[in-house]
Amino acid sequence: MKRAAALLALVSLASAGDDWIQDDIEKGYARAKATGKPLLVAFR
Amino acid sequence: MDGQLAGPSDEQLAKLRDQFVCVRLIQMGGVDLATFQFDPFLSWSVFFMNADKTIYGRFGRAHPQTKRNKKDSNPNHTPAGLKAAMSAALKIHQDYMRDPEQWGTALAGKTGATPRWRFAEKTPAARRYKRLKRIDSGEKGCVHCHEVQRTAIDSYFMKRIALPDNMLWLYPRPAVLGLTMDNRHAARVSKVAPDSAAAQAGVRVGDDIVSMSAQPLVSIADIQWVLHTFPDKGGVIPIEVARAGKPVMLSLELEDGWRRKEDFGWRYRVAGYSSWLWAGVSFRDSKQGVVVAQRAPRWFKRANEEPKRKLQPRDVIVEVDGKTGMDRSALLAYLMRDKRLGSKVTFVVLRGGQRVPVEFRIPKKQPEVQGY
Repeated sequence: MKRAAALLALVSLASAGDDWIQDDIEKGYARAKATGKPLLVAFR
Repeated sequence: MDGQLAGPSDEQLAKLRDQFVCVRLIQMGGVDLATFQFDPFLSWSVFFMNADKTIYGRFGRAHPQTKRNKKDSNPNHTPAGLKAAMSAALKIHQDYMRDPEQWGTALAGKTGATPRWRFAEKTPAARRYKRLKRIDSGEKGCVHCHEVQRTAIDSYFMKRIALPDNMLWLYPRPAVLGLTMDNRHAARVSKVAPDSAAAQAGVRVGDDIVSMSAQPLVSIADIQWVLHTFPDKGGVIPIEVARAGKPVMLSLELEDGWRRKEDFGWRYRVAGYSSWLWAGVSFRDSKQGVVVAQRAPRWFKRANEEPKRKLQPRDVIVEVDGKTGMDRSALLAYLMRDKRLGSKVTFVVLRGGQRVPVEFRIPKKQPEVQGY
């Protein structure tokens, strides 16, 4: 239950923080290439 | 820190964040360790990088759980330090995009050598972890960051490959150079220990370390990366500092065996040692010797029970297989490197003022790890 709650909190956080890409680094690379922006990849 | 970065509360942080494509990876299954190498014992970490996988820098690091650190749950992560790292990474990105050839050379060292096993769930030891085995079979699940390290160490052991020093004394902290860093800045020196390598190199309080080994730095974690990949036999690290706005070049000399000056035992207090070997027994250093500090928590359900049964809290280990004078790191390194499945280990411990021999055998067959 604790783990599920923690994951739920993370998902909520991510949705609050606009368009974070979740668990898909390839999508991140593609978006960075398209926009010319650098990537910020967070692990937790 | 994760919440602050994702949330709208800090306007300056939000402005910086919006200049990046932000990705959150909450588990290590399927993560390519040829690209993403970082201190596996930390609670939160960031990579700044280009779409072509060129790494600009790292942020976030692990720290010992001391009484002092417990007051401040994350002494190495400050919003100010993160902002400084993000600003520095954005500057490197601009420079790199303008001249990829020149900057690509300077940044090449930020990517490590391809590891022996590129994915945590593919390591030989992963089949002992029920969850990792399921992930390798295509099921959904979570590989924790510290499990990357644990399965790698277990795999070296299983395959009888000698563990390199930097698998044990990993990501050395700047203290090993005699440096204390100000965590509100990218890489600003707040203290220099007398007679240390940093003092001898001429590093001063207030210096901003701009580069080490030609790698531009965005954070304290970047210093640890340079040290993590530096040879065990020592050598010279060229460093550039900004002092009163002017660049100053210095040479930092590390002697043979420099890496072993740091205690790495604190890293395993939470994650447990190789569970089949130690069943979560943990140790701390004392003047008398290595003290048994804690025994296996319940979640090591089927790990090796023998050390847990035979060692008692507050036992002082004064001898291991006839060897004396070991501190915690030396003891752990000896056990992880020199022992094999089925090996006998003989301790002499001080218990109630008496020298008591304690002997146990590492199981011939590795138990499957049920706990986390």
